[in-house]
Amino acid sequence: MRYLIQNALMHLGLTKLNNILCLLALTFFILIMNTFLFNHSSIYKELSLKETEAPLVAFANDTVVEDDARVFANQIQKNEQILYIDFITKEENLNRAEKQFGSLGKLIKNGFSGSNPFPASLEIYVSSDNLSRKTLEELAFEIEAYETIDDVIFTGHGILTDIFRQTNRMTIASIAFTVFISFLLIRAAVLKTGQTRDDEIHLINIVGATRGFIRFPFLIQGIVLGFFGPLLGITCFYLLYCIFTFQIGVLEFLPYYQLITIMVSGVIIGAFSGFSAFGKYAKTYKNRSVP
Amino acid sequence: MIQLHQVNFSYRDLSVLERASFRLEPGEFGFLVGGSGSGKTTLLKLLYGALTPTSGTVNVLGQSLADLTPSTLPIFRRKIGVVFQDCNLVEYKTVEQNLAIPQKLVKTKIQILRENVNNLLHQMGLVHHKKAYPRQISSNERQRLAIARAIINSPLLLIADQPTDTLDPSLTLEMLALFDALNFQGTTVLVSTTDPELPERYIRAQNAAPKRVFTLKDGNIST
Repeated sequence: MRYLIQNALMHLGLTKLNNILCLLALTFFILIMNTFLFNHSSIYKELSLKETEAPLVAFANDTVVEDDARVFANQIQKNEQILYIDFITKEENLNRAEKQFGSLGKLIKNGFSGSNPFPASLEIYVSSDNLSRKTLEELAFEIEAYETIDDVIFTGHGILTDIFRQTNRMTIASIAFTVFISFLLIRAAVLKTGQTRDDEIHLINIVGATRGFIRFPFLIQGIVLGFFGPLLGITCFYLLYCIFTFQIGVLEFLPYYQLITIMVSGVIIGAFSGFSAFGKYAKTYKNRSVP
Repeated sequence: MIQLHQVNFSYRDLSVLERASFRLEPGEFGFLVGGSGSGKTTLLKLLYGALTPTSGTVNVLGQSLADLTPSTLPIFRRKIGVVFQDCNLVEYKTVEQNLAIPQKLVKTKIQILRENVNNLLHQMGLVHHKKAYPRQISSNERQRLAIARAIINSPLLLIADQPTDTLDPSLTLEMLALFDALNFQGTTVLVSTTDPELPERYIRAQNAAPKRVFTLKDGNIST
């Protein structure tokens, strides 16, 4: 084992500059991927806070009585895109405002000398499949056309869902790209070291090295690059997070399970790249070096 | 020890060996003589399994090379010492590191390895160069290092591919005397050369015991 490790370390040290460049490139790509993951998890958290919130709120005309509003609610609920509608009375809206504004709530309640300035409203929930800015705008336009409705507002849910979906796609694409580019980078670095050591590999093959002994350094180099690349990427991202934390405020750093997944994936990709590089090396130098 | 029977070998359309046969018994010293491009290196490569014959059988150390598998081939090769035509030293390793390579493959304990390396360095007169790199030593010293590396695992068979062709006459005789000493200790030795008079010259100069001489010409071997 001692000689195997010695051999692997010597293999690694032989193309230092090559390995450093590979690590820098890996760090760069993992930094970009982390940015996507960070955006993704931040938007996801924000979206889960809004999960209970209605994406659309339609304020009823002041002249509309409760029974009419409920009939109207039943009427528009026939639209397939709408999941359900909550009817909120004027009193309920006043109570909510009182709660929302804390000590100032009483001022609101008493400020209008007994009259309630808040209109009744319809909180419209839309099925998650239809939750997009475009669908919500179409719905809002449709609802606003009714005389009983004064105004329709968006709570931001639809836009956020749109952004989340887009970020989701981009994050998946960035992960796929990073995996692919990491594989290529590590494989190229390992293969380069193999080519540099070609004379030695040819020699140890002739004097009786097993395939495992020859392959081991390729594997170790892949694993080392696959481990330190993501580690440097995460460290750089954390430093940037610390530097800009005063600007991004309450946003949390990447969750532990994601960090562990990145590290483990790095090692797996590294090992796979090392094996692949050895396969390519053995194929290219088949008659010369490897049994 | 070595037995070639009706061996043919060709690189694509170019036939190198045609029904080549010869036999070298255990403990013998043999010269393989042939001109440039006669197929000496090819024949030696067949002996340590770096090439496979197109047809015919090659038996070395009681083992038919056709029966070797990728897992048994390395074990077989550890019993053979090879001195390459161009020494094949690892340029980024020091003299002692180059010498230690075969010992590491057989998992020799570190203390024994150091002892063996030092003993051989002394024996070969390379001890003061042990921290030097191959490019920093003379061609004679490189050749001696290559021989030391070939014999450090005490091989049963030593194959040397034109080890003396680049050396001056006195160094050539010195080198052959070294092989002779190894042969005296029981190692079977096969040395290839392009010089047809070398075996005779060596025997005369050193007053050495007669050697087997195999001549390789037009793909055939004659004794």
